[in-house]
Amino acid sequence: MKNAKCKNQTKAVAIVLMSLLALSTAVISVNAHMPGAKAPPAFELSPIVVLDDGTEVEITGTGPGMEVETKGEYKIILLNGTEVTNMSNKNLKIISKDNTLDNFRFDVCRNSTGECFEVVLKEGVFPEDFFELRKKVMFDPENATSEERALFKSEWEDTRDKFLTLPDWELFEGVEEPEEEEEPAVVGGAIFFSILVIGLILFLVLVYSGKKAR
Amino acid sequence: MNENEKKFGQIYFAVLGAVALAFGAAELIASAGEGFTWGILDSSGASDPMFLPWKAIILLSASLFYLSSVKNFAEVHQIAKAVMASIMIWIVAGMAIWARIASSIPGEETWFNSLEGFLASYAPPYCPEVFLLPFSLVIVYYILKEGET
Repeated sequence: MKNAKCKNQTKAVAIVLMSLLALSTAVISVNAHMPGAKAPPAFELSPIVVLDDGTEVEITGTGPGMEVETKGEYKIILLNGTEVTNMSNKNLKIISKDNTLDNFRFDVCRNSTGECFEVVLKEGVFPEDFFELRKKVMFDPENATSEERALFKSEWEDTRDKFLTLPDWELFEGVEEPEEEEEPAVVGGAIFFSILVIGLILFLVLVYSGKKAR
Repeated sequence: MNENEKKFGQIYFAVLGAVALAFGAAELIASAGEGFTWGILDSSGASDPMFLPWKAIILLSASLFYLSSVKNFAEVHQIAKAVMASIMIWIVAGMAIWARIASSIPGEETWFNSLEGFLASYAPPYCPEVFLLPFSLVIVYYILKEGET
């Protein structure tokens, strides 16, 4: 997740991400998840940023702005409420078999106060048949046709690219698009102002030459 | 005033009158609603909504003066109508320009505006009268011509 500038005035210091299989399945180690996938587009992953009483705080896990007394935590909670303790890739893959869009939900909390806000993935980020195809191709490859494998690979690549390139407000619910400050139209103003000045000079010249002629 | 000048004046002020009529009608319609901004043309009345219908009436009157001056344009009374129409446009456009000049000098939170802010305050969109202003100045030529005779 890049620069999730949430407007919530949450005291976000220690982070607890609760999801079945967070973004790790979708984002970074692309080749590890999808052999033969095309290279990802150019991207820059920056830390989650929240507004803490108007001050931007980066959630980096170890960076400035974190509470020093409370170490950040990362938890994966199953939809049934069970916390995942075995965080090995093998186990995470097994429990991700029945993943759906509901698994892409993140709670960012400040441990000291218990304040949280929820970040939910928008519908449409994943294609409709993505999870069904994923289950078939990844967990039952013998019964998947070559067309299904190709389709899943393509959808997987598209989804990965969305995560890497789309702004947060297009990926997540509740993230407001920052308002762009309009550039002042200096050039247009300068042209008009120049015309005004030239017009004034011409007018003065006209008046002066008229007086002189008399 | 020779025949060519008379012919040019007739065509020119007929076109200017028609344009002024279109602008006036547009402003009148705009003043009935919430106004409009179309590209660099501004009839939103954002700066002074109360004045928008008045500007529309002034423009319509100016257009009528222009159009009525076209017939027998070389005659002094007819030129006087075009002069009057031009003066009406100058007054309204002058007010609009003066409003820009006055608002361009002070800053939002400071005594004086920055150079960027100063120039930006002259940026488009402009009201229709400002567009008509340079074209209405042609009447000065005919005034000078009339003065020679």
